[in-house]
Amino acid sequence: MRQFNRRTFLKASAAAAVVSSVPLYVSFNNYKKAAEDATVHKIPSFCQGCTSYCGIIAHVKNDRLWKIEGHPIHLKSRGHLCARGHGMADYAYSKDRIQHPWKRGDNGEFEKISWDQAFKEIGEKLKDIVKKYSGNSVVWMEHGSHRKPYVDRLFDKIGSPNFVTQYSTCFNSKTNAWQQMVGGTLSGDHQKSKYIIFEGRNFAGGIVPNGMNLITKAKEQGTKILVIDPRYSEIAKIADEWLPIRPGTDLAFRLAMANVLISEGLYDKVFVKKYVDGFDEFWKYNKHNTPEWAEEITGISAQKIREIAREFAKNAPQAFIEPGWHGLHAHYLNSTQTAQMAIILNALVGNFYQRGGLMPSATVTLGHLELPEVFGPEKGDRVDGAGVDGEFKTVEPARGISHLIANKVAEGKVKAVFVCNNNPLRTSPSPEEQKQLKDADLVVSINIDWNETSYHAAHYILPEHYYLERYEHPYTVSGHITHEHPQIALRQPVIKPLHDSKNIIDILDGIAKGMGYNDLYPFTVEDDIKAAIAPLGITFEQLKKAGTIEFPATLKTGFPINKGKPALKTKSGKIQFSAELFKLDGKIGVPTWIAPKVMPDSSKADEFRLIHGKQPWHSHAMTNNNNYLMAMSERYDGMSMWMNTARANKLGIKNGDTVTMESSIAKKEVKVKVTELIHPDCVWVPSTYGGYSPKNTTAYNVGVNFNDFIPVMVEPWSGSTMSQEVVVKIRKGAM
Amino acid sequence: MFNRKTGLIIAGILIVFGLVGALNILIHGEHAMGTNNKVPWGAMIAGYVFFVGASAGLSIVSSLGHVFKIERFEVIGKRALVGGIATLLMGFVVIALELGKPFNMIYILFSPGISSAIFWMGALYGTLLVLLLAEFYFVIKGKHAIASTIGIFVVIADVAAHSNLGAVFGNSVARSFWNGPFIPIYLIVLAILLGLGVLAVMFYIIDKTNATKDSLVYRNEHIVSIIGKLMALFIVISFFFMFWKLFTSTYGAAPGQYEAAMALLAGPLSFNFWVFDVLLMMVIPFILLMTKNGFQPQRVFLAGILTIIGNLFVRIDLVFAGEIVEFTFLPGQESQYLHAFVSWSEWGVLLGAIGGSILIYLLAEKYFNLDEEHEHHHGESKANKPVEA
Amino acid sequence: MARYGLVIDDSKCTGCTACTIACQLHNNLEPEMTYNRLEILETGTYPNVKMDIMPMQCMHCDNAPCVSVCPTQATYKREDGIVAIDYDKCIGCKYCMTACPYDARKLNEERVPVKCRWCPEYLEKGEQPPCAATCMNDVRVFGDLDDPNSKINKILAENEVVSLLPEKGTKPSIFYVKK
Ligand SMILES: Nc1nc2c(c(=O)[nH]1)N[C@H]1C(S)=C(S)[C@@H](COP(=O)(O)OP(=O)(O)OC[C@H]3O[C@@H](n4cnc5c(=O)[nH]c(N)nc54)[C@H](O)[C@@H]3O)O[C@H]1N2
Ligand SMILES: Nc1nc2c(c(=O)[nH]1)N[C@H]1C(S)=C(S)[C@@H](COP(=O)(O)OP(=O)(O)OC[C@H]3O[C@@H](n4cnc5c(=O)[nH]c(N)nc54)[C@H](O)[C@@H]3O)O[C@H]1N2
Ligand code: SF4
Ligand code: SF4
Ligand code: SF4
Ligand code: SF4
Ligand code: SF4
Ligand SMILES: [Mo]
Repeated sequence: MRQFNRRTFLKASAAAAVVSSVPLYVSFNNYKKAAEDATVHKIPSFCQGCTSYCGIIAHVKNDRLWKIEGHPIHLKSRGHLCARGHGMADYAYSKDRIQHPWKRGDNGEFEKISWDQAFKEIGEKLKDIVKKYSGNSVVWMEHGSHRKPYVDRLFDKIGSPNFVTQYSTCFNSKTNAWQQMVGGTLSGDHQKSKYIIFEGRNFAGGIVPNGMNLITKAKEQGTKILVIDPRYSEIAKIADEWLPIRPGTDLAFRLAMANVLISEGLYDKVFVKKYVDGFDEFWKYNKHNTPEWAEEITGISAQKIREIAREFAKNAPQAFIEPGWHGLHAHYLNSTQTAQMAIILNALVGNFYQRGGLMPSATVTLGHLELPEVFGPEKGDRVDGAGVDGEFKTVEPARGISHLIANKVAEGKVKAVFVCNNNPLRTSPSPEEQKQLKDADLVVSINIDWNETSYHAAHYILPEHYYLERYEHPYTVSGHITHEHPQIALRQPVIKPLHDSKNIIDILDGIAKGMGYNDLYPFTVEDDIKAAIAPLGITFEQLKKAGTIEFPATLKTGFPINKGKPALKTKSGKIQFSAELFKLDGKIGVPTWIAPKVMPDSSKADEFRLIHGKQPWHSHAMTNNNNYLMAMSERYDGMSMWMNTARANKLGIKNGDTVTMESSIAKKEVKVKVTELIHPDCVWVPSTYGGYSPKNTTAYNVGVNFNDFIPVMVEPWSGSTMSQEVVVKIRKGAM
Repeated sequence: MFNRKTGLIIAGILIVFGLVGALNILIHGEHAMGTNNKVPWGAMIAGYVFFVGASAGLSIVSSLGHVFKIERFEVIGKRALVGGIATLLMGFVVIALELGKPFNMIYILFSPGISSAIFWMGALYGTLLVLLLAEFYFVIKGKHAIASTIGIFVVIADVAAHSNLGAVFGNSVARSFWNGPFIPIYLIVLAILLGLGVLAVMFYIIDKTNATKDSLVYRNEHIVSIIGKLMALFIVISFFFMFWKLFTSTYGAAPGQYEAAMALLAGPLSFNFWVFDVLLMMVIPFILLMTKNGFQPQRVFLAGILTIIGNLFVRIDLVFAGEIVEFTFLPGQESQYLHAFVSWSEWGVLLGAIGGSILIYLLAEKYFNLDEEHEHHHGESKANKPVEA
Repeated sequence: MARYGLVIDDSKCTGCTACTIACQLHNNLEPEMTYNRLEILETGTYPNVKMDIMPMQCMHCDNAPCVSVCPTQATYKREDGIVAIDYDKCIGCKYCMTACPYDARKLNEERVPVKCRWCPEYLEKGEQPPCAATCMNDVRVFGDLDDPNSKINKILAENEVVSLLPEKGTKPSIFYVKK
């Protein structure tokens, strides 16, 4: 039985409304009537289903969330929401949510404890750890960095530099390249473009709803869409052309594109001269990377590469190659260079700061709450080595190397770990290695359900309010699509907390008080919100009512110029084809060909590269416990691994068969979808499944996950996981 | 061999199966049935068609005696009538269990959907039941003139109701295998064959158990043998219907029809089709009847049992064949066969309804005089009926 | 009186399933119950392949077989073209299910064959029902066929459209843009 039936919330009022005419049950008509009679409160907020953070309007009846709609103004949604957004909203009522603090007892079983006990014990343990091993042994892991300003107060007090985001598993290779070469990222201006290349970017699967809407509109106006992806992805469905590339070889394709642009003189010479630094160096190292050379590597014909390069140049500057997101950017040894090449190709055709090309996001500056300064011991080097000399110097320290933390526990360097809104045991490579997290002296999981990290590694589990139950510091809306008008959005409670949970400030404050720091958090989230919006000329009430507020346009086209000089936040103020930071240990700063770390042996019938990707109705490993979304997976055979028909035939594998897949670290069974929609060299798995927390009842033991098969590796330039540097052997039949 | 007690025990056991199945369906609703959203009708519908078919067959054949005054059939009149009522009632029980919300049937009166074959089915079968009960009442009261007049209406209502039942399927534009005038006519033919099978079994046992004082022999011919000859005739007619249906369906007919026919001939329904629909319902009974001494009561009895079983399956297969081909909507999409089966609860209900029919019949035997009370024998007495080999 | 219709441009659909769940939550359906669905078909041989995804739901047929077969008028056609169900009159005979050529109906736990309602609470206000509103690709556009200025009529005028299974004579109110 599901604890919270969709209908139960209507039952109370329905029972009252029915003058029992039907004996055995309350008829559906009466339910509906009761539901219709109840007053609907519409409260704006925003979604937590993924990093798009779309604006929503929540509809609430009888204090129960009924459904959500897309916020009509919010830039990411503009009235539209994806399936996950709806599913996440309903998940508030999941029985698998963490309903109160838990502690793992000596026998390994979890027992219910009070918040007071949790704070006291965690505080005392943390204090001991800091005393014994210093703050450098303490780590905070989180998805994104929205809680960082709050966490920083505690970490400043104890002297820990170790705030770690999930980005090493997401798209570090991209952000790093852009930071070094451009000083920040730009996004495609899809709607005004005439020619878009989506290479390793599936906008219809890794979704920003309004972004996809703009792309569809562009297509209707005649924009040509080219999709380069080993797998026929959802966006390939609406593309003018799908080019399956040999996975891991996009760098060669991009180098050859640049080669055509330069050797045929198609590039924007004026733009390059004015705004690019390091062009000659780039050309010096890459003259020989011709389309013919790339054809061998990528499997895309030289003729085709030329054709694309010419068309790209012809449509420029209303043309761009998508800067991308996850796909390609945590996947290969050459991911950073591949990302660098996206910058170089776009710069070669001069589309930076051009409508229809690449544009920044308009933004506003928020105010700050004046708080007493926190004094603590000096912080040492980051424990994950990000940005540290002699370790991972070129990796952005603000993001860290998430997937290394468990190994740092094993090395004895990490003693206390807080994992908040993050699930490294399922979203980082090699679950067995990640499980070592549990060997720290203190592991606190602050997550909303029994995810793998909570179940297998946590010593304490603390429930944060669900996103529909809490306030948060306002967000400036930006990323992955361009917009002229800055926006800010508010997350606010739409329902009362269903369980004994708390908001993050109160959790941090409780821990701090447990350590004896009584006045680290002398403020509430509301205070923080008010301070943040103070400079914007809007009131808290206005923001609560609107949910999303849009400000007058601020965006201008044209390259940023200061006192007549290019003014990017880079060394030269220009686009750096050669990244200074990467010139380390004799490396060169410009990208050139680097082969992937591993390659399946084409003479072996059973070897494949294992690749993965998002499914439109699932987020990471976070929605695999959602009954609605998992019902979609069932309906559309969503859990199967894709394998090319010709390859499957050679192995005698038929559609729907179970096969055994083996890498250096794992051997698992998986069901196969035999299809013409994928490159023969690889097999593709949707990235959501393989839940292994028995308490996440819907997710448990359904499907496999790519992370099961890859060891912990670190991409040398940007620190990412290299999650597709793996060759698997597949044979027909169960284990 | 048989007596009332064995009859009651058999009926009792079957009814227990029925009650368990029915209970499971009442508790778990559709989940206890072999149907699904794409195969919405299954064994319960087929079972209903089977029981009302038996009823139609019984009352049509029985009317040969007292309505059409064919003398040799008079002896079966009352008992066939009782059988017709019993099976009709059981048909209603089966359909009531199949209906999701049977109590809303009241809206058939208050809010009639006159374009619906099921509305007419309700109306006609309701009328039929009233007519059958009235006929029975007057027969028992010995009012033969009125009874015969009602009998005429019973036959009309029977044919109307049963062919309308065929139209329930035939009207479905969605299911090309059912769609058209074939099923209404075919169902009548099948009903008569089924009725004959039931009569063969009934009268063989009646004879064996000396349950009647009437002579079962007419001009040297045992009534069961006469039934056997008719059975042979209707097997042939059924065969032609089945043959032409499948033949036309496999030859360039509407989309979906070919696949449905192939589901029967060589697809997921082929075992049922060849074993039950063809061998049990037609071929084996036909061979039993047409070979030497074929019309001997015992042979006819056996043929009757087989054709009854076959008749149940032929209806299940007919229902499934109409639904088993998955619809396709995209050009180039290949259609697949859906999964359809009879659940144990459904089997329970079907067996229970057979038990229920037997029970009603035995009760009628007990409380009413089902013999012909006027003596008008033409020749042989009970004593010199043919001796069995 | 309005006469509602729906145009679906399936060439724009990318199979995200948002329409399904938006409808489920709006209509308080359990995860297993859906009022709309996707028909998916891959064709061709690598690398020359194609995928079709076609959203489907009740066609609200003008000449609806489910209406004419319903014995109690539990299924009926409203003046505005919507084919509606009165649950309290339904006997659960499932005749509408066998009669519908579009697989539009599903049995709910109360054993009533339910289907897409065309959410009149939205259409009457001139708004798009949840399945259409949530769609990031604007695949569906509902509207009043009698209103010459409606968006749906504009789309119908500018595009060639087809309805499914015209040979069944059902006269669906859903039109698919032919591309
Ligand atoms: N539905 C859904 N949407 C999401 C998310 C989600 O979890 N689910 N998460 C959000 C987040 S955090 C992110 S980072 C983004 C990710 O958004 P994307 O980066 O677009 O998503 P991915 O599916 O990871 O990768 C995109 C494509 O890369 C392809 N690919 C894999 N290997 C190669 C290769 O070697 N070469 C080429 N050319 N292509 C390759 C995959 O087949 C896939 O189709 O999505 C965001 N939106
Ligand atoms: N298996 C797998 N691994 C992946 C990916 C994948 O798709 N599949 N994608 C990669 C990418 S692109 C990314 S960005 C990362 C993301 O990796 P993670 O950051 O680990 O993200 P999720 O799995 O989305 O969510 C982590 C946990 O957040 C919790 N949570 C949800 N909402 C809240 C909240 O409001 N408060 C709190 N405190 N907790 C909450 C949930 O319990 C969930 O288990 O994973 C990377 N690795
Ligand atoms: S894309 Fe979907 S899951 Fe992500 S924020 Fe938007 S609605 Fe939520
Ligand atoms: S919401 Fe739109 S794009 Fe998504 S599946 Fe439905 S119709 Fe297709
Ligand atoms: S699509 Fe099916 S359910 Fe809908 S109106 Fe037409 S026949 Fe009836
Ligand atoms: S199941 Fe209900 S709605 Fe459908 S035809 Fe029967 S009575 Fe009408
Ligand atoms: S119109 Fe309403 S009921 Fe029909 S699919 Fe859309 S949301 Fe669901
Ligand atoms: Mo990500």
